[in-house]
Amino acid sequence: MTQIKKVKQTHIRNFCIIAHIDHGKSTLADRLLEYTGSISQRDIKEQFLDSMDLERERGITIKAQAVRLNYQADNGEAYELNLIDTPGHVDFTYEVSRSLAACEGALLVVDATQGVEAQTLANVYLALEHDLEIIPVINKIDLPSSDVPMVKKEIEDLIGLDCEDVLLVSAKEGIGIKEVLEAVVEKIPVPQGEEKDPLQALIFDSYFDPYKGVIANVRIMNGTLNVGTNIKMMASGKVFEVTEVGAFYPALKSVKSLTPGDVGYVAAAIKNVKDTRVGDTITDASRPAEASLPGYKEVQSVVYCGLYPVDGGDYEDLRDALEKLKLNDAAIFYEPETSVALGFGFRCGFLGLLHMEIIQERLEREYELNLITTAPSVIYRIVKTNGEIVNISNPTNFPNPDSISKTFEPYIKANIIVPQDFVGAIMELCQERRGTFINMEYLDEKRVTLSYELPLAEIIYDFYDQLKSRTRGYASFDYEMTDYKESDLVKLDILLNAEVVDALSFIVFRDSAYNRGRIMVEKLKNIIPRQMFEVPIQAAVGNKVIARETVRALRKNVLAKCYGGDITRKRKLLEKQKEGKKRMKQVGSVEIPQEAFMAVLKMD
Amino acid sequence: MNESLGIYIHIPFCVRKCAYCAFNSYEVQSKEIKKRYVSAVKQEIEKPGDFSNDIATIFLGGGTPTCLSGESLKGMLQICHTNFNVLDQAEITIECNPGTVDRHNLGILRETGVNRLSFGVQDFHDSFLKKIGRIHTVKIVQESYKMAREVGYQNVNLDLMFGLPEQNIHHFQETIKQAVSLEPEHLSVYGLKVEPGTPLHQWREQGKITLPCDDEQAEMFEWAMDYLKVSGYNHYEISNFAKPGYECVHNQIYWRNEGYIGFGAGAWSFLGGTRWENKEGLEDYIKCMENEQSPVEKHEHIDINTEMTETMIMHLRMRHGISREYFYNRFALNIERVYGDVINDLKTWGLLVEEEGLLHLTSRGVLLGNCVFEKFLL
Repeated sequence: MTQIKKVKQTHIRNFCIIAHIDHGKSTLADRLLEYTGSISQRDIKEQFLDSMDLERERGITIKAQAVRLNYQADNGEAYELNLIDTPGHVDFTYEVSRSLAACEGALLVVDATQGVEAQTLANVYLALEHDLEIIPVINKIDLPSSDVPMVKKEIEDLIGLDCEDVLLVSAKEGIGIKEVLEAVVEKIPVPQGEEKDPLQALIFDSYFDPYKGVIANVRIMNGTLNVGTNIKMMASGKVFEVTEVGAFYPALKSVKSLTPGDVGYVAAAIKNVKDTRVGDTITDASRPAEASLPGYKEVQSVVYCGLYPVDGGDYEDLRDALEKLKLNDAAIFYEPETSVALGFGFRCGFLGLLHMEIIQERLEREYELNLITTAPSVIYRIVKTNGEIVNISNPTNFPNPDSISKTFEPYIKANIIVPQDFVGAIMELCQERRGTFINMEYLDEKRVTLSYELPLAEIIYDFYDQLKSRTRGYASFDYEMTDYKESDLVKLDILLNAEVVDALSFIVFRDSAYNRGRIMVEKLKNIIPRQMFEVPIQAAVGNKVIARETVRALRKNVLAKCYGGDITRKRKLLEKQKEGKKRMKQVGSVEIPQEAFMAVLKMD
Repeated sequence: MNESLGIYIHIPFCVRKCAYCAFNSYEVQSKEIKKRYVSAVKQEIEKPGDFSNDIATIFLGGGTPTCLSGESLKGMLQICHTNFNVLDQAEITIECNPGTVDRHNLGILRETGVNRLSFGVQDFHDSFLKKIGRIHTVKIVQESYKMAREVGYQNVNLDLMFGLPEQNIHHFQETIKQAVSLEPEHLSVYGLKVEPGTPLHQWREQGKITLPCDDEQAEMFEWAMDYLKVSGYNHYEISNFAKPGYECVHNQIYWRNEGYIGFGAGAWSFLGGTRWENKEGLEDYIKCMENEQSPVEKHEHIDINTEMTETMIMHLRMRHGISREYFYNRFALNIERVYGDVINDLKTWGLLVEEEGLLHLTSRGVLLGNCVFEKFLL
């Protein structure tokens, strides 16, 4: 058991690691843990890495990991280094920003063979916004293809960091680890904050623990957090009594109190993660701080889709599963929704596409639910002729065209870093997706950064896959939300046997409607099995049919004999045939297989 | 007054198993096993049952019943007559394969009261017959048929199949025309169904054979319906055509979902709301009888919902269909209350019509039987 000794505030350093995906962030974190030997090597593998693996496997990079490292520096003093491992995906930018706000410094890890990538830049800008001390680290120097001088130059030119004494590391080989720890001690500022001031603790993550209730990961900015303190959440105003405070070793270990500069956790018999919103400030209810810490935002869903159980009987299970997931992820939004085609389900909102995929996958894998997902949608803003403004995330609610005055859709600014050979391919892709060119800059002789303004709706359909395939995997991509822009939008309906299938409708840019409608009906023609009658498939905008295909009627379904011994067998075969169709959705009299609803997701 | 019943006797022997066959039949040469089997069946027929209904039909099916000698078959039929009140005008059918009959045996059967023959002909092309594993040729079919007529059989059926490997509509038309030229009283025309576990299934999986697609098969059958109608055959059940007055009485018992008693390995019976099946295995069945145990493998209680489903499915197989009145008399329920919506939908889709109080399949409905029947599951 590790002896827990309280170190002075001057001996605390709080930092995070920022990097582009695959540049070696996790490996470096592992090495720092091993080197400081805060816990035994065996435990590191079993606890820290395992839980990380699980997260990585599930793809839940939503969660910030924190760990406390005890480090004996060269100057002979003992330091407490709190490493906060942040998620790296654009969907979770807000969560990342709260993690950064809990730190005074950041290690910027750049792959010696790859150089600066889109996420490197995005993360650096974020860190600079929070006035973090940035320590550049060039990783993977052991690889034969590493080019340290080139990467140094990139960091200096693109980011403007002095690379004279840049840290040269191979996390894989364990080279330069001690130097990293020394740099953290020497360069990262001592956390500020007064113990005697009213309590201000920043929540940078929270999750549900079945035994302790909600656990909030916090950074103490001012004041002291003790067991028994009545704490108040400044955004929600709710008050709880603290049952436990502790730190990450990396397993949770309770401590007596948390003081300024400390990174730790607090449990207070809180039942719902909604009450411990990331970014909120915890204060002492009896002596509240005057103001909350800056930067708190209500989480806003960006991408929406309908989730429906394939088997209507699983509706309650889906509700339970969503409820449970929401316990750990306040960023999920859901509300009941009904579709004529799909029955009862939920309209769900997510931080982005990755977030959506993670949640879908968790529902299917962890809760064994068989789901139909409708086409993802952004939030469209519609100004009606009567002046009313409506926000729409479900195509079904798209107003009657006659009542629409103007339509708007959200835009993003995309930064794409790519070898110059692929500039043409990227420009073509962005053009196809209604992008507006903003800027192009050479990073070095070979690589270029391209900025485009694009409708968010255009990147939620396989943009990333296209980007990767058209650049043989070389492009890196990052984006930020910008604003709404006016856009000529229409609702495209799909009619089967002359009936609109609501779950297949989507909102689309008018000039793309014909093309998308054409692709859609062709796809559906191949997916919808022949039925007892002819099934016309139509794509329509308003009353105007823009594309049509027909599924011809089935002509024969078995003409076998049936005698005494066959009656039971025959009936059982028919029962099986009927059971098989339960996996299909019945709209009017047309049986539609699940894949049909997915068709809209893959348009190319 | 009890309803009259049908008797089915299963003879699970074949000279050779066909490539498509998934029926309960075995390639048995041993006279000893056949002898034991015949004794076992006789024993089962003699066993006192708890019914005393008249017997309207007897059907000797297989397998190939004519794998047994005329004397053995005669013995079994005689036991039926001793134990049951077989009506004088009873229809007594035997299935036989061309090449397994001779004048002597056909004569014995005729004398014993067999009045209907059903030949498994399947096709009128030697190449197709060979491919699907039939033991006979077209020439043998013609000889056997002629022999049957000479012995005095006046009610003969020919079984035919469509959807054979590599078969096209012209082949099938030739087969139908040849069959009609023989002027049988009855024709059964089945779609070949590829059953798992059969060589045919394996060949298809291996890509060694190509079966005509559903659309081609539909064309074949549609043509047959027209041609046979013109040729004077009444299409009285999905797969069955007969000259007026020669509709198979025994099979209509099944299609009316009425009572029948089955004897022999794997034979099914349906009586008094229960359907049961004898043990399928030859040795299992024989041993049971030799040890004086019940040969029944399993019982299935047919509840009212199942009976309604089955009644609809089976009756609709017959071209005259089912009347609202019949349904009401049988179940004391208005058919509208149970199947009103289904009937309306099927009418809308042109699969079902109602004429003179009878609900029946349209020609398109016949071809889509399984789609229609599925709707009647409760």
